[in-house]
Amino acid sequence: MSSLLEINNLQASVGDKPILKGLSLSIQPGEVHAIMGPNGSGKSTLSYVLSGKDGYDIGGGSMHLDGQDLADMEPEERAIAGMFLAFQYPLEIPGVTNMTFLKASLNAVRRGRGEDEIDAAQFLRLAREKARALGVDDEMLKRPLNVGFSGGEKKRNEILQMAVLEPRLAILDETDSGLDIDALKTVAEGVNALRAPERGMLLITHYQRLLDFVKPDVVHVMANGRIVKSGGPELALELEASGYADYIDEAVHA
Amino acid sequence: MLDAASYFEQVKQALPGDVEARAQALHKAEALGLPTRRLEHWHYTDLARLLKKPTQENAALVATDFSALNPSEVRFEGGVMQASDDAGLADWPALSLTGAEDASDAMVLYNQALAQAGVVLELPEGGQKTLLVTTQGSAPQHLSHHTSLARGAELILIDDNMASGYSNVAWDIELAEDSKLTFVHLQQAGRQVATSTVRLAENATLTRLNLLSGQDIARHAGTIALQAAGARAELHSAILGTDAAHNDVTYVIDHQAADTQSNTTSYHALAGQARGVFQGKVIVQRDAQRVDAQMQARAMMLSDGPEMDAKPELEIYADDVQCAHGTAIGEIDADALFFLRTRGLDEATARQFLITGFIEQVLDACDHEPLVASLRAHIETKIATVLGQGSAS
Amino acid sequence: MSEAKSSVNRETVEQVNKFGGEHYKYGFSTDVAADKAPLGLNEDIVRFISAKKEEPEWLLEWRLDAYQRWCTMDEPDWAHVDFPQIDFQDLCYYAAPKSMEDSPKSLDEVDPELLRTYEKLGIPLIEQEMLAGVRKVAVDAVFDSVSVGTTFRDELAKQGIIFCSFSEAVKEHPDLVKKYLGSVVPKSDNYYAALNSAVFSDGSFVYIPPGVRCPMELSTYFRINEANTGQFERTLVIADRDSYVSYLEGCTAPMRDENQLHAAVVELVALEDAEIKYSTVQNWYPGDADGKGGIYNFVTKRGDCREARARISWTQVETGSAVTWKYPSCILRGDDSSGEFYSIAISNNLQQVDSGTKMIHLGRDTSSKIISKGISAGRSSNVYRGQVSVHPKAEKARNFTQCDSLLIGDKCAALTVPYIEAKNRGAVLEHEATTSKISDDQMFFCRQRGLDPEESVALIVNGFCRDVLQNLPMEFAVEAQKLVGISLEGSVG
Repeated sequence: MSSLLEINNLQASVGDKPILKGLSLSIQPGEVHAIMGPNGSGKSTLSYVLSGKDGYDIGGGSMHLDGQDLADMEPEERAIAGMFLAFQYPLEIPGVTNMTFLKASLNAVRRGRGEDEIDAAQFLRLAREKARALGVDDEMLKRPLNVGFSGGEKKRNEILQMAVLEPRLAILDETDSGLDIDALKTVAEGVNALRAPERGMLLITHYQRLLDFVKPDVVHVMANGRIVKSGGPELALELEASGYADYIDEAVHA
Repeated sequence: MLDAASYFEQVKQALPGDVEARAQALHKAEALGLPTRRLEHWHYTDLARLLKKPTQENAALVATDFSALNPSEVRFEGGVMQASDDAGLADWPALSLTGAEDASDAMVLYNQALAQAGVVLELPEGGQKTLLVTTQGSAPQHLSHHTSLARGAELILIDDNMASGYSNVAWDIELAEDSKLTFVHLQQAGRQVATSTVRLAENATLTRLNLLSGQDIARHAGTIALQAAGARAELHSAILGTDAAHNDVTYVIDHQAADTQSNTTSYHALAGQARGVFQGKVIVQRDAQRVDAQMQARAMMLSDGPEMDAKPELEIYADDVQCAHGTAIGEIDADALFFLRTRGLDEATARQFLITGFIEQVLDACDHEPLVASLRAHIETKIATVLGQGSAS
Repeated sequence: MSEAKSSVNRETVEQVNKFGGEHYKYGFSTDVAADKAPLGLNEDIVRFISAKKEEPEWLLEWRLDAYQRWCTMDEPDWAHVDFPQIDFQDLCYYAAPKSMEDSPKSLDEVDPELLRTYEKLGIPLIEQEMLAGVRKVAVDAVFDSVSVGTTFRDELAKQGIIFCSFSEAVKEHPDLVKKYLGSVVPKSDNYYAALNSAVFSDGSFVYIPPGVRCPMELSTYFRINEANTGQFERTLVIADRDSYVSYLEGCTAPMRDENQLHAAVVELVALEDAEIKYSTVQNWYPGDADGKGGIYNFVTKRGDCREARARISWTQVETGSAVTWKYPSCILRGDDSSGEFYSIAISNNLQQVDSGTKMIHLGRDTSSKIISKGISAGRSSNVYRGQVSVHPKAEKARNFTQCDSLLIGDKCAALTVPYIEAKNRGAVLEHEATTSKISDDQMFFCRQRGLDPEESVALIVNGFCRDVLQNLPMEFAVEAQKLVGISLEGSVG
């Protein structure tokens, strides 16, 4: 079986500053991986490099999704190929309603995948159904994208987009940040509902908290631009107890 | 513009009303001359110079479908009323020089001197109406419109100006207690100077939406007088500027009484060599306490050529007020663009999306669903026609 | 911190505290026989001034040219100020204290009467000398139009820093003066600048050589003393490559019934990587509560970030003058250069302020920041007028403007008139303005905690101004905070 996501010795920098310094990671279909690490270890950079944000220079290594080389693909081509990033800070876009945006996005992805676009009525049914499951009401669908949304609403909205777009690989960047316990549970339920044999997930998180609700198959510790340790879910608990200090030293002196 | 004096000589016999008063207005206008940037009110629109530019070709005019509103209609072409399906209008000439107290503005005076026709609509107490005024044609036209709403009356007024030539249009509007006016301006072509004066009595509400997308010259100046408590003005403009378009929105919002409110926004999407101008002056008169006046001007610069000029002014003479203004000028937000692309939209589509969203904020203050739907369709068609793919990049 | 420093600070505070009793504390007039020009302005007066100062021919020509241009210009009428027509032929354009005929060689030779004047101002020169070894402030005091004494000259000279009166600079450093004079504010820039160019009598000159960080704050205190004298000083500050200087300017004037004109020009030139900070505390006599007397302060201040990465920062605390017309500006010519403007403008009684800034972005990656706090009380009028202009070649220019007005009472006026102009696609310009009052709740809270109404207002206004006050050098911040309170006396109650 070939990997869903295969990252090999990836190096990336912003200007003169190296951030990813030879990162390797492989995720199989159906697996949920968690990457934990201290602030500044490069976790969010990894999510941006994988999804194709401007401003990062790839210095070496490779990244493949379903065997497709991501390096030269535009962000939307990666989305069509099945890459989904749930943003740590979802953008507010005034004037564009949630509904309009979701429909445009879904149809762009479907077109790209060689599928037929869906019509307004079908879409409405689909969006409402997915929204209801996440506790997103009609009112939220009609409002401009994320404008005036609470932190919890923004994160639920990200999961809704993921549910609609049905990606191959979902990267959740600090999706737990800024959520109270009830909001966290709702989001986690949404994520769990999207676990599927053909889909991979990469949870980027600073704390163990999210992992109480979304059980990962593999946990990685990231420090100083590399994966410094990998293990099972028990690794997350260990980190919660002992902190990152050991790993930071290890990474710096490696 | 043609020579006003000789034009006046040609047409004066055919013009209704007091020819002598017209001649005086013309005399004053000629003495002032066409506005230049030396006049603060015209600081960024040097009309004397602009009118010397060659006229610009216009992109295809979009006929906007207002049928869902089932409006009465009246149409002007070349300054002449062409058709009115029993719009319930009073007789013109009701040419009055009221509403033109600002005799220092030559364009108002030219309008007084040369006005050929116009709407006179007096909506009685509790009356309700939707009126669509369309203006077409390439010949120069001077229109003078007068509207008054009695207590509790409600009017949706749509001024759809598709004239491809020069037009000088004046609106004089009186809103009595508890009346409500939704006033829409569509401008798609030509060289248009529009001047409006609206006076609001107690608890009267004005919602004004300007959608300007012509590629030549548009100047929309409005004076809004909030004369009694509870009066409220929502003034929102969207400008789609391309090619050599010069679009100017200028407001004077005069809070003459306590407990009045105004909210003004302006959204400029500029490409090509377009120039966008927003001037807004909020005046809070002495003793007009508890006024709430907000003003925001935003511009999105879509290419290398455009220019945006903003002058949001506050002139405050009362202390217990909430007044703020803001201006933000910049390119399309790169993070928003990236976000949309991670959701599968290609760059051109994502840009168009952001531009559309930006412009459509102009509709936020309007709660009339069918009207919003018509205007949304207008905006989307306009953006597709005017910006299209590529020219926006 | 050394003991000397804290004792000086305490002394300063006490001196400032002493200002608490009367409304205008600097309203004394020094009795020094003056050497004055006859009333009026014509070519002969310009020649008189130039001759008096033993100027070279080129400078006389420069003045005469300025005078000719001034004759063809009109007074600006766009500002939101209203005052009786000034009769420029009824003013005296030169007044030197008589005892200055033979310039003092050291402070010991300075007329003791003058020194006592400065003592009353709370900035005795002697004390400044004694500050040596602590944090140093070099003072070039301008008494009416002639610089009376410059301290710390020797110490500055060791590092190649030139800090002297303008007339001295004309004699000692003619090449520098010739090269930079009028290069930022051209002599026909505006009506008052042209007038100044024709008749300026003295001022300060600063040159910081390449790579030098000026080790102390340079300071000038201006006073207008002689009745009916216009004061036309000219300041020129040049920061050569990679140098730094912080310049302080304080202004006071005696109480008089007639209005007095003050039309200064300040030019700053910052070359590559250089930085100039220019701070002003302006406390000219504002006139009495009925608007009688007071200074007309019509000043042109402009800085030129002439080369890459130059930085200029203006900070002003404007509490005085009957009429203020002043727009310290930055021309951001060098790539990556930056300009800042921090302003507190307080108007009370019948004062009229029309002040603000211009940020002209010409170079790439230039940035500017404007923080303006206007406080209007009494029947005064307070205008912020500003321009941010991004020219077509100024790629990636940035501006942030925050412009807040506070109204105290319902008889005053606050106006905001910004001109925001973007001619480059990559410009990012943000402008915010608010208007507010001191709320009853805030006042009640302060008074419940034991402050009287005036103390409460002073406290709240100081809070409102914090963003600007914290940009002032320590020496000025204390004085400025106190001034905020003093100038608002009588505004509540």
